[in-house]
Amino acid sequence: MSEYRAAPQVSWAVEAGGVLLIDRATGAAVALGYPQAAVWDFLTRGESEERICAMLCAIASLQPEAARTLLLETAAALREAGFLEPRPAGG
Amino acid sequence: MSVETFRKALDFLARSGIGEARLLGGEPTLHPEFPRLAALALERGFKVRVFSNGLMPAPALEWLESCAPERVAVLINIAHGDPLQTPALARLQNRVTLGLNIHTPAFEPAFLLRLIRRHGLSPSIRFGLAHPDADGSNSFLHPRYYQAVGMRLARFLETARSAGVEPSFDCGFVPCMFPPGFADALGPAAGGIGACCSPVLDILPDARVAACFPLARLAGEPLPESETADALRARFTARLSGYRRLGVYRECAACEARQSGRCNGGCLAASLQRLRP
Repeated sequence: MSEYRAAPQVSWAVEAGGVLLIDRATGAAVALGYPQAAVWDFLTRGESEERICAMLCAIASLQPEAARTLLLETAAALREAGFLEPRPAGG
Repeated sequence: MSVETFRKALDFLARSGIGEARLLGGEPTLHPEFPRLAALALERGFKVRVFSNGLMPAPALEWLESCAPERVAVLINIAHGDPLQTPALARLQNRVTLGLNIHTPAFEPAFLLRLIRRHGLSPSIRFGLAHPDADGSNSFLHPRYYQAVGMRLARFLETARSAGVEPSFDCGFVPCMFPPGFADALGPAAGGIGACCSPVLDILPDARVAACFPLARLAGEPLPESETADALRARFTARLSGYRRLGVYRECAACEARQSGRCNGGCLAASLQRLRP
């Protein structure tokens, strides 16, 4: 998961109950509640898949497999929507 | 702004059905052609409202003094009663509404009532909040101070209203900054609280029109040749809709007043300061 980073045109703000992502290029916005907001937070910090899953298990009371599924699905959806992009090698 | 751009701006107002030309700055009376431009607006049937700091060149002051109060109004923003503003206040009298742009929670508005009494000004005060510009580099009132401002303002308005002076509110005031029951006690004068921050359409000197000056980079385009203000407002509103989901506080996302439409979340330019990076 450390292979992802926030797309350069994306800004975000912490909200009550989650985070709001805004694509400054298009004006598109998406609100993430918890625990998806936590996935965003960890991904954009460059955390490893293992660490993110461990955190999700702890904060969202998930079983490891459910945490991994949540992580992969959230990352894929945000990648599809253009909010995440591959992190350059060494970056 | 050139005379040509000003004429085009008046054309835009006319086809948009807007009957008042609002002249802002900087300080609009410093424009070397101010009397000519303002007279042009009057000749075309507009009312004119000038937003000034009261430090006016003599030609501008003389021109304003020569106009009927029902055609020309002047909003003079007063920070702390600068003696240099006295000539404008004394000569324009009931053409003048005082404005106070609040940039610190330690503001002291009592002097405004003395000025209104002394110079026979309009018995009203327009309150504004100092908002951030596009990059937040100016001096502005941070939303963390809104409640302190709201409490102080509520106390002052008890005195003001008992003296017959009514408030109006510029954009960005939010219901939660005031004590419970404040809006109900204020009645219709509270109408602007929580409801402003829709595209006001500031026409800039370079002939661009923006949703508002602080948001010019996000929502601005050349002054149209044939479209009306409604079309521009709709386009700007759509462009800013994603950003408008932000409020000035993180709690706005879960606020009942926001969800019910009683509050739009405060100044969008202030809300954007919460974004990172």
